Amino acid sequence: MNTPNTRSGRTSAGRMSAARLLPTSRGWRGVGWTGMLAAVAVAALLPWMLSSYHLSEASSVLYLSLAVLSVNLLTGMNGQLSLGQAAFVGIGAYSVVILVGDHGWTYPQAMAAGAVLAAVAGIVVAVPALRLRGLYVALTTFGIGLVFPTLLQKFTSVTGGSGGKSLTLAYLPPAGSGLDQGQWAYLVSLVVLVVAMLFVHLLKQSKTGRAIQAVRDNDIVAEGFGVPLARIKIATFALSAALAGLAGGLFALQRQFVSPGDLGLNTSIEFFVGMAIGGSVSVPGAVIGGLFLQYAPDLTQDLGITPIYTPAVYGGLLILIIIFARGGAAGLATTISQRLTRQPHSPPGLTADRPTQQDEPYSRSGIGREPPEEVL
Amino acid sequence: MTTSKRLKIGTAVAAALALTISLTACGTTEKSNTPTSSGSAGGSAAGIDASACPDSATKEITGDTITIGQSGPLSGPYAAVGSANKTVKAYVDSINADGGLQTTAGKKKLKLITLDDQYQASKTQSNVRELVEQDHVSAIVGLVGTANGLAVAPYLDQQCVPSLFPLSGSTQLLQYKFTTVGQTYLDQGAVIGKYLKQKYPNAKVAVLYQNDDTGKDSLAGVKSQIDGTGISIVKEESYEPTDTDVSAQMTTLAATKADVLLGFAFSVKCTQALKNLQATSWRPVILTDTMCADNDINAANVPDIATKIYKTDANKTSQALYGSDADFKKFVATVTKEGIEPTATPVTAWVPFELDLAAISNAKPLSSVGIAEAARSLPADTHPGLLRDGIQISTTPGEPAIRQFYMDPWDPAAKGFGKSTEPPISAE
Repeated sequence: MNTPNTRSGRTSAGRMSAARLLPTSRGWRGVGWTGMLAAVAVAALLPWMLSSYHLSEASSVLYLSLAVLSVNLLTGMNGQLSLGQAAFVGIGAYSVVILVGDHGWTYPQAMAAGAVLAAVAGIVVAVPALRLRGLYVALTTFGIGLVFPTLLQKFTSVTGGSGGKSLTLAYLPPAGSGLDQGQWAYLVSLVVLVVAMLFVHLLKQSKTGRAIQAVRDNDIVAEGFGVPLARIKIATFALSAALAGLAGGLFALQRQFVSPGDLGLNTSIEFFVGMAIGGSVSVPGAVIGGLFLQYAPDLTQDLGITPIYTPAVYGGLLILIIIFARGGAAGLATTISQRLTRQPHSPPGLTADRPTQQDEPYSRSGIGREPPEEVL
Repeated sequence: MTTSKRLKIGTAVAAALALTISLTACGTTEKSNTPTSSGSAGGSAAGIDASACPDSATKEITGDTITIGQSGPLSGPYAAVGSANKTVKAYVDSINADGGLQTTAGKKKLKLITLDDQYQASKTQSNVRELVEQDHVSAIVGLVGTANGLAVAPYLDQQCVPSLFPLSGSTQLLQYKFTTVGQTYLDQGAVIGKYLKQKYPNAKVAVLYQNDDTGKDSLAGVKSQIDGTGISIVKEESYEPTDTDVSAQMTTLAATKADVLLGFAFSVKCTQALKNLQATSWRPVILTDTMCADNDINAANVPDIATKIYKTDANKTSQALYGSDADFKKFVATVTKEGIEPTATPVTAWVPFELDLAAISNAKPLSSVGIAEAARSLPADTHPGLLRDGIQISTTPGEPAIRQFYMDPWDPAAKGFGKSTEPPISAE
């Protein structure tokens, strides 16, 4: 989970002049990959280890993680604040419920169609957002998040209105696999999530990925260096929406029910909180965000906190993270690992692995910026 | 200029999104909500074939405790409605303090587990799975919301665990064997239709309704009764739940000068509609249902039109009218002890929970399936304490339990609905 690829993996490791630090950094990267593989292996075994109820919770984590990953890509990596991600999740979810339930499509077809439709909607939103920046992009996406549940209620004959729409056909496991529906839904979700995470990870390392992040850090400079600003912004929006649409597809697959109440502004804001908590630019951080969103409400209730204060707990955590750990849980893990590896050798005053302004310039929005160590 | 540009962009975005959704739909309106019932009709009187049910659902409850669970909006934007769940909790506490509930297998204590779903159907789903699979509850009580009830109904049909009288007036829930329904907006509409036939057989009627299941069901109920009579609907105007006001609709309706206004508008919209009406010269008779409550009418402060408002009701809601009623006193004492104000919401939770208790008491054998069967066909003499005198419970399986309503007149002096002097009207 704690691969340090957010910073040491890419920018710092590549540029750090202190040669002796390189192996350490690489070593941590190796640990990260091993950890990830181990985590995936354990996750793949869960259907045979958990009761059906606990497995359904774990399935939720997978869908939530994918939704958080989509916010990571758009907000964390590209710096476009999204407060309406639930709308794209909703397009994916409703596509599956409507296409499978009313039009006889198969689940994979409907999920793919949902992702494509969400991407198209993403492009439509991205076009006005092109001229806007920071807070105004946030307001645009906020508007989408606000209007989406209303649209669902407007087209009641198709969407089932405020009562929601259920899907009686389950995605049946392949004959002879010996899996039950819940196990199959979990495994499909796991594969989709892992592929999506790998994709985003590779994207992040690629030239396009660097362009995406350069736009976040300083769009004017990025454009000066030849980054096609409009294309990058629209493509990121579309890609993020497609991932969110896929997450919606998983939601429909797992629950066979969707209603406007599940896709309100609250949900969008929860995804945003998930991103901040996991780490806005970290791919594995998305899973931490997903875990948080699934288990935190139960945990606060188990701790004896009256549910009505749960949003206050979220809010408080968000403030703490913005002040003390902008990289979220993943960023915190990276920082700690770097501290541990640095301590014995670093002579006082030498701060070779400390990010400088050139390494991680301030982004306009402040989102996606790595934690300056001075604060920690 | 910039504003209009942004507006245009906003409209374009909204239009495009709408297009996306309608494209997704491809024009069909066919519903796929056919229930996956766990068994065919027949077998027992209540129509439940338990042969496909898990053993845990048919096994008789042993020990001296019955575990039940509920899920509702304890936090989030709808947390205020969570007082319904707190009311159920208070009721359970009072029963246990009195030694428990009498059942067919002797006196049993109730163990109630309450979970928070923030009014999100997906969270209700998780909560109900937790209650059924982890806590092994014998019944789900006090679910809040139509979507929330619908989200778990197919699952509960599979598990053969009843969802007893959720707080929802939707007819869609009636198709599920293990979900029972207290009262529906469709029935309230039918009662209003019958009242129209009795009192205003040649009336011209104007309608304001909320464009969702609630408003549409109410209107459909009215239409089911007045088709082919001398009553004509001259104008129907709808509003979206998210609209900010209803003045445009009310202006259109006022132009009809109809004799009767059917107001199927929720809380604030009801207040707004009455205020708009007061500003015109139109003075129709106003018929409404439980969507519009006492405080909504008081908030409008409309002395000129307040003499002709009638509303369907089956519960004892008003402290002024029932303050000396023994059952109402018990209710007030129980909820105030837990710090809950004895307003309309606790009453709307109390009555269904009384039906839940009747189902559990009468279940034979005392098992999940037994409770479900009892709930589908309650004994005819069941009478919840906060149900108005004179109202008879419906015992037909697959129908709502409460199908009779009074048409109460508004009493401007008392600032509340009075008691109708006429017998209740049945929707059946």
